[in-house]
Amino acid sequence: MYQARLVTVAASAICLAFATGQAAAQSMKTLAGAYAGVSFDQTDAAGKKTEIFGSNPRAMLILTADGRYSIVVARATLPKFASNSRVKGTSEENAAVVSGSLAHFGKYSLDEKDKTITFHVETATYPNWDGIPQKRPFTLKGGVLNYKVATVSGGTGSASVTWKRLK
Amino acid sequence: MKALIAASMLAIVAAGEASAQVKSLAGTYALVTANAIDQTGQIKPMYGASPRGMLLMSSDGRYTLTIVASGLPKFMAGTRHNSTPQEKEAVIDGSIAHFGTYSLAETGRTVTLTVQGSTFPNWEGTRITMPVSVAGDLYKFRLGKSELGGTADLTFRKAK
Repeated sequence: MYQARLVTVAASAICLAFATGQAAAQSMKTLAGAYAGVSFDQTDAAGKKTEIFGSNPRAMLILTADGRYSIVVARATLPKFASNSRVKGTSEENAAVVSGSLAHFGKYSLDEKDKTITFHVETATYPNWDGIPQKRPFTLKGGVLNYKVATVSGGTGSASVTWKRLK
Repeated sequence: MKALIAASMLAIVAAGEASAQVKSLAGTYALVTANAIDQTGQIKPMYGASPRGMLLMSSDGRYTLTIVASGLPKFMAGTRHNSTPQEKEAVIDGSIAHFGTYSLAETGRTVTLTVQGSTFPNWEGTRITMPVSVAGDLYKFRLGKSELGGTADLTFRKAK
């Protein structure tokens, strides 16, 4: 009797684990696609709001169904390098790009219960993020993906990031 | 004779692989090498010895590409904005990211990227056409002009 119950419990646990895994896979399929950046809004401790990458930022996020992601964000007003060479930027040009852009990639995971997406950053143009998982509560409604950033990469405060699925 | 046959078979296999047409580019690619090749044939790694990079190509024609040198110094200030000029220069010299749309030519031998945004602003709004070849799971893209002079080869391994 005890054994039978144990088997039932074990079987249920396996079913649950399988179901959870499947649900995550299902959600990845739902999320997968290419998105254009809509807004990257920072709110500092005093409640002051700023657009992290200016107005009309150029940005793309790709999420694959098998759990890879890539994000590239750049201000619309980055200065072209006068030398026309990436490795010959002036200190002002370099500063504008470092402050006004961010790219990172790696794998992502979803937590159904918490409604969070975690970007497992493998590599970033902001080197401090290399290898650091970034967990964000998210919502997806009608092709609009929004997530909250607890601590932004450029200074203090939190941020709300919105993407729109590309058709 | 046996050796000759084996050698010619090998050559045929190698040629067959090198000239294989690319049917679809959709997928995930991990960077293997990013090398500039100057006029004398000398190879110069563009992003240091062990560059890290990912190219994502969606089935509906969008792409993102990011390459970052290994060992970039962490920003001491702990934010993107308050980095030192040296930290900024290391990132700019040691990385590139861009995104946009791509199209594969009917021949399956060239791909054109239309750059919509980039950490190298001069590329924004430009088109980059590159010959592409595949051998097994290795995809090679040839850039006509590298910022370091000469041409450049980007080699990626397609993820399964």
